[in-house]
Amino acid sequence: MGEGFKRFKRQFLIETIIKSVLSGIALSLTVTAVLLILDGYEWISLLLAYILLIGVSSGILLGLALFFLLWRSDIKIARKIDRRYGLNEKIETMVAYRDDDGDIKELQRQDADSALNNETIKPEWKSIALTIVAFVLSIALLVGAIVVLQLKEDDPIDSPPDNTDPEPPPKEEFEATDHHKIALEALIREVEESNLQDSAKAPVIAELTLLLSKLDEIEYMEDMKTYVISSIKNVQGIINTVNTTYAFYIYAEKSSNAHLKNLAYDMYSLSVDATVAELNTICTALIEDKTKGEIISLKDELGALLKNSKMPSEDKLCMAMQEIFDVLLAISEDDTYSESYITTKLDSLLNTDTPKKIREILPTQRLNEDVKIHVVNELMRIFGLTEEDLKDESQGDDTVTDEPEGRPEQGDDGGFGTGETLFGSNDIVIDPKLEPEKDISEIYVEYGTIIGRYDGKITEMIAIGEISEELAKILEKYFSVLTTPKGE
Amino acid sequence: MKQPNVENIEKVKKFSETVSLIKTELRKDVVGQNEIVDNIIIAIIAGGNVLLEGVPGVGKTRLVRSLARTLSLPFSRIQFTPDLMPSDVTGTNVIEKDADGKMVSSFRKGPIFANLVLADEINRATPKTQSAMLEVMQEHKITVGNQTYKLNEPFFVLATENPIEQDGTYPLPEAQMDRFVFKLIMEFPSDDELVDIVNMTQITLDETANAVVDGPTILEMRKLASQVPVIDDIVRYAVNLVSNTHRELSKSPESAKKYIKYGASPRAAQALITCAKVRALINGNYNVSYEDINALARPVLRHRIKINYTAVNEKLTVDDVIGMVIRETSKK
Repeated sequence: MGEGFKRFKRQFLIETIIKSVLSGIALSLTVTAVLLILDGYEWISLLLAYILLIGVSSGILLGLALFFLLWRSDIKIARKIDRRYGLNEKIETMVAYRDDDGDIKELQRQDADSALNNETIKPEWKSIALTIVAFVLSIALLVGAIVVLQLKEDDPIDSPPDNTDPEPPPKEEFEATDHHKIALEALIREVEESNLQDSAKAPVIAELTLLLSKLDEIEYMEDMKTYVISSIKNVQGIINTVNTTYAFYIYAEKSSNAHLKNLAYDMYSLSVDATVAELNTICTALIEDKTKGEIISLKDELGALLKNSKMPSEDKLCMAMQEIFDVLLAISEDDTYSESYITTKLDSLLNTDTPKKIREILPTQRLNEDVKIHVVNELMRIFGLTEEDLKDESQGDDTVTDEPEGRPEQGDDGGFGTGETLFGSNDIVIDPKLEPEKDISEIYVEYGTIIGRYDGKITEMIAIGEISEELAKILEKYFSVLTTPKGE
Repeated sequence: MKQPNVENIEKVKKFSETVSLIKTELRKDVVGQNEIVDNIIIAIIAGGNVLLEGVPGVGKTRLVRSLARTLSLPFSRIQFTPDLMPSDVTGTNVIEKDADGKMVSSFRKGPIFANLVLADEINRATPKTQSAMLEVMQEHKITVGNQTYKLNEPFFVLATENPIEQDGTYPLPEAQMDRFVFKLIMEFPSDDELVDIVNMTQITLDETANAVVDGPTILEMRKLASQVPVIDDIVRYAVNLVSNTHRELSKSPESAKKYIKYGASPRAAQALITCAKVRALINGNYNVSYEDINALARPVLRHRIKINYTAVNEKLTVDDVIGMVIRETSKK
């Protein structure tokens, strides 16, 4: 084969290598960029250098493969030369008959070689240029993909959504302040100085003290809420335990006896007058019942309640209920069905110690209830809890938000009073002008009759600066929601 | 590899020069018609015969006579008429007295016994006479009685057809047309050419071309031309060109399906390659190219294919249709 053809063949080889390598790298970089974009930039968690190394290496391998695809036999190279230089099939004929004898074929070979030697090698600029453009575009595509990735990392809002679960929001931190501690300590002192029943006072103080000790350990708001709500539940539980009217009410609710339910409600409302009045009503109804059916029914229900509620026998309420039960039992066991006997027996209920016991126990438990409400409200205020927080925690648990359902025949005016709205609240409270020699049954008054005095006192203390600004706002708001007392 | 014969190489290199000499001499007697002259020279060297179509007076006889002078070859002209008999062409046995006075039978050679024969208005002869002529063209020998007479080589027939007077003529059948390697169309000369013709013939009506080659030289040239290499792709291209004229083939192009009634025979492919080799050497090339094939496609194919009425209605000539087939074959 002539030197001319070898020269052109060498040129073709160089062009093929260049095109193969550039095309291979361009192809692999393009695929890398497309995968980066489609995969949501997850790949970029690999080091970028590795990605480029993989892309370039696979590009070179692809290039080698492309080389064997693009490389041509001598005949095809000769054909390309003929077409590129307009040599009218001289070179292809030369290559096809390179091994043949013959004078004309020898002449033909010489003529073809001479034609090649007279030609200047012209690289196939068009295809080389296209290859270079493809290579540059592939680099631009990859760089663009990486730049977009960087921008997306800086702006997390625009980050493409992924299919995994969203990260949980960071926990809100909690730090116990002096306000928390001071307020809690003040609450503890209030409980100590209160008229809370002794059997409940120590446990309540212990509960609040425990909460105080844990404050510095609490790191997050949700933990704080858990601890405080737990304390609230414990305080409610402690006081509900000593307030046997609560237990009596809970069990009476399950009864089918209307008299018992009404009696339980009135006692749970801690209304002495209502309780005594209901007792009168019961006795009257029982006397009118000629068949003793009501008596027996009430006796059975009351007996079951006393047994199931497990009220302490020394508890005055329990003692009072026991006395009622004994009377009803006696009537039930009497075979004479004497109306006078029944009347005598039931009247005795109203004129013995039973009402007295009731009048003693209800105010005491009323005080306990007041302390319970005060402690709960204070804890909520100190730690910024809302009714919603308590409701969330009280799913299935009536302790935190326990309120009586209300007597069917009585309107729900709120509070624990007789239902006759005097002034803002019907609650029974201890008269601030209590005189020591007064009977305990006379120390409780309707809150509405003395609220004016409280309001006045508070206003005086605010004016002279004895109450902090924060507390003053709370108190002013408290009194402002109540209506002006009549005559006060 | 065997060393090339220097003498042969010189002859090959001189091939083109020799043909140029022939053309130069012919131009002394023939004005214009360059393509006709080139193709006739190709046909002679290739060993084929030519069918020439042209109106009277365009120089057909003069061309062949001048060619005979240039090639130093005996020339004869046969004017075909309807009453011409086969023996008028080939020759016949006659009874004559010999030197001793005895009556002997001897063969009187006909006008066909020349190297260059002009068969003028061959379409006027009867089919019987045509076939006798064409058989001689094919065989290059004549059999009369028990005797076979071989014709001298190179033997070349230039047959003419008068396209004007068609009444009482016997057009050559397609099978007979296939024996001509080329069909050439002699156009009416241009005004300038006509001026030259008139001026030239005012001086003398005789041919003035000189002999530059002889018969053996033509035969050598024929042998050299046969050795010109042609690559397989070009042979395949020539074959495709011929087969694409057949509309019944599924691969034939749309132009063939639309405009051609009958396609060319395999002789057309042979003629294309053989004549392309000669053309390559004449142009100073030592290999056949696609250009050679395309340049010879019309002369080789125009008398071998028949266009249909669709082409006629669209005022297409057979050369136009051949051009379409060439274009469509080249694209593939």
